[in-house]
Amino acid sequence: MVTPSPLIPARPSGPGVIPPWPRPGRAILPLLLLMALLNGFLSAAEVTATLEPASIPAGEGATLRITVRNGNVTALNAPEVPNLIMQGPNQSRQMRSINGVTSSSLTLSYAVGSMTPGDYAIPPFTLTVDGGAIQTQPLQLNVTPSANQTPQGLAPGSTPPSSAAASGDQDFGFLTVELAGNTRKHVWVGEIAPVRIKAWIPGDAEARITSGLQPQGSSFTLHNVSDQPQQTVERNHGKQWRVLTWYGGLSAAKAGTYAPDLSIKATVSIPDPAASRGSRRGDPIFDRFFGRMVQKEVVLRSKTEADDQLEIRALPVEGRPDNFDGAVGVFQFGKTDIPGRWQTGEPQQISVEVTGSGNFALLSQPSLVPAGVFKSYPGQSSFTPGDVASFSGSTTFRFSEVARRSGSPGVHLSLSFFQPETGTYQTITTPDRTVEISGTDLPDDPAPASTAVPAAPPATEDAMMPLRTDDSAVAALTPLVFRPAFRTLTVLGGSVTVLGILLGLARRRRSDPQRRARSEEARALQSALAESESCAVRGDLAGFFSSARKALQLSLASRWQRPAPSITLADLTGRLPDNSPVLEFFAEADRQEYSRRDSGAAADRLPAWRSLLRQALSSLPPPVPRT
Amino acid sequence: MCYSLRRFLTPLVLLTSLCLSAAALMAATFKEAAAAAGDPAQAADSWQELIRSEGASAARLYNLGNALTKLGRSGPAVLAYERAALLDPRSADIRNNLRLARESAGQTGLTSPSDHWRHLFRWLSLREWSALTLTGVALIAAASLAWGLRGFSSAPVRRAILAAVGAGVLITSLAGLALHQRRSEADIGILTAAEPVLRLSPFAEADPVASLTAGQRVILGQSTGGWTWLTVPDSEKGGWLPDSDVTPLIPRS
Repeated sequence: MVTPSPLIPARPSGPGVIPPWPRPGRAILPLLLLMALLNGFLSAAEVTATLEPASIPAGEGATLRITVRNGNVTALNAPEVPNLIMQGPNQSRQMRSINGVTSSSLTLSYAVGSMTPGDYAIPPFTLTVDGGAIQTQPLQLNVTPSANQTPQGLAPGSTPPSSAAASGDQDFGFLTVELAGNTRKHVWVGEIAPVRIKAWIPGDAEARITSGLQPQGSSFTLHNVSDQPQQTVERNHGKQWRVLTWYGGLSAAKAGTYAPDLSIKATVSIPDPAASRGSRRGDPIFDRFFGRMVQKEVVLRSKTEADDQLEIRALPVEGRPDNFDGAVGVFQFGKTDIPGRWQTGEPQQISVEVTGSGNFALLSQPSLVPAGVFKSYPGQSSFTPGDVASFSGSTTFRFSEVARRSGSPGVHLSLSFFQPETGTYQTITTPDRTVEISGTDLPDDPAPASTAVPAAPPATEDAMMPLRTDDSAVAALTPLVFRPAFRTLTVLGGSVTVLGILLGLARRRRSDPQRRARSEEARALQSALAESESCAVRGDLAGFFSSARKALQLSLASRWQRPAPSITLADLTGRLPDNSPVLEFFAEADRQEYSRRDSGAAADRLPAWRSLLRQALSSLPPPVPRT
Repeated sequence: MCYSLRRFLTPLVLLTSLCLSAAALMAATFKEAAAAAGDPAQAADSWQELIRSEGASAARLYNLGNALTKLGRSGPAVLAYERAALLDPRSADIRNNLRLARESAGQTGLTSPSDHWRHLFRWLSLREWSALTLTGVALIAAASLAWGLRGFSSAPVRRAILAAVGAGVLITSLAGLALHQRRSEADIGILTAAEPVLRLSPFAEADPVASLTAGQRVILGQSTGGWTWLTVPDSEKGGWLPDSDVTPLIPRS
């Protein structure tokens, strides 16, 4: 027999006793709650801002860090403080997982400083985190007078020199444009001259290109500029430069002498050349970020000397082939596919590759010779560049031709272009090939087959529809459907529609003949009953019975669907039980009507007759709907 | 009666004169802007000023697009043509120049609506479809009110009411369907910057997501802090762009 230990009380048992939870389970719920709270605490977004150090000499920078934990930043509003320079932000993100709880943080870093000594109050930054606005705490920065030589022209308390005064634009970089592989000093209209474009940025500068390359003026068009420039470091005039190189093509649309100058926008930060440098921490990366840097939005331009301007020559008219469509360059035929068997009237697909270098945009579909035997239709072309500037490459034309004349002619493809190096036109052909054309000859077209050789793609301006000389109606750009008035008018129309329907239903209801008849019967019944009551009050026995009899007839008429005056005692006798109060009252009413007995004696019984009338009316079954 | 007529005659004449003068003035201003066609920069400024001061018309927007195309500003040119097409969708000139402006901006592969219904829905402008919808609603409302007040008092009245209801239902259904199909045009934007770059976050220093083309159509999303979230149709590209680089096709009130 086991004696229960006194330390462990016996578990109570019996009906109605709820046993307690097991001991381990009691700890689970609080633990779960604590974890949920902890997770919630850890999941909530929090933002902190720090500034290190809080005191710096003028011209040096402190680091302002804004750390956002467990939140997504969608907007940031940095305050502006006079005389305080803020560079940034730089972003870094960190993910951390501790005991299964994941947290993330985003750090935004600014370099903050000033050239003017003083105490600066940095207002809170406002961030939008997960849809809600959060502000950092305000910060204080103390800028002490610099022990080093101050930047040229900068006295304590004065504003920093403007970038233009401190250094010329040239110090921020420049652009050069070189004709690549071309010893000529002239180019032809339509010729794409390959160019190498270099942006020269000082080696110790930070630069961000903020636009694409643009030709200066409207004389030249830039083609196929490489997407990403090559980056190199070069020395020029004893100075190190960071060089960005693009390749592209320049073409001119009109004859003349022009400077092939280009420009590009950039944001360049260079060290202040008049100030000495030094960071307390000796961090060259920090120095580059903010260490008396002068930043400027600049336009880097190339500058062509007068002697280096480019002459654009118009294509000569003399010697121009009939099938010349404007292609300038050097081209040759590649793979060619011309079917050997033809049927007149049946289209056949021709494929031809043209390789070379030049203005492929002006290269048009070759023509099949002899032209009179075939009719050509415009097809498709696909270009494959051979270099980064797409100056060389190949175009494959696929188009349809229809044979019009039967026979066994020798056919070839023909293409004419202008060769810029020699300044002459050249016509190339594919080798002659004999084809078999069967079928009956097709009649000649009424008009010459002008589409046999499709025109070269016209320049944009040539194909544009001209100016409109007459004005059209002025209208709002926002259509009515997107304005509140549209909804209002639609709802109004709907309301009027509903009103009309309701009015119509009401009108039909009013004009319903059966309903009208029922209304009239009801009115007549009410009138008769009111008359009978009035007579009863007056003691007019004859009037009471007359009007009450009429009321009974009207009630029975709506039930039996017979005219009320035609209902007599005989009808009631046949249709109602003998003990019906209707029968009793009607019989008495007839006696009063026809016998004219002394009303004095019967007048005492008027209340009883009124009660009998009410019984009679209430004993009647509900009226049957008229058919 | 003569006295009553005289009372209204003077204001009527004055009003007519004012309207004619305004029309003449507007025509003169249009002609002045058209006269500057030889100088694209001045022409563009003139058309923009005319549109800003006196409102837009298809002709003014079309001419503005021409001037901007000559200036090489593809994005704003496409925007001008697109807005002109909103007002006059059946103009072949506008469609042609819009196509050319898009091609010069480097956009390829744009196709017309592929099915007949979409062609039909774009045959009329949104303004015209809106007017048709309201006309259909008005027909139904008038027919309903007539029936409610008078009923089918005679056979001709009955025919007229039923015809009005039938026409109203047909017009409202077709126009309503067209407006429903084109409801997404309220969220279309046109990229007006020369080289727009989509960014991951609404900061200038954020990582780029994609480079887009001037004049490209995009779908506008939320705006915050001078940046707009947008997505490129028929692609998964989405990102932030400065508000100044994109303009809603239909101006937002």
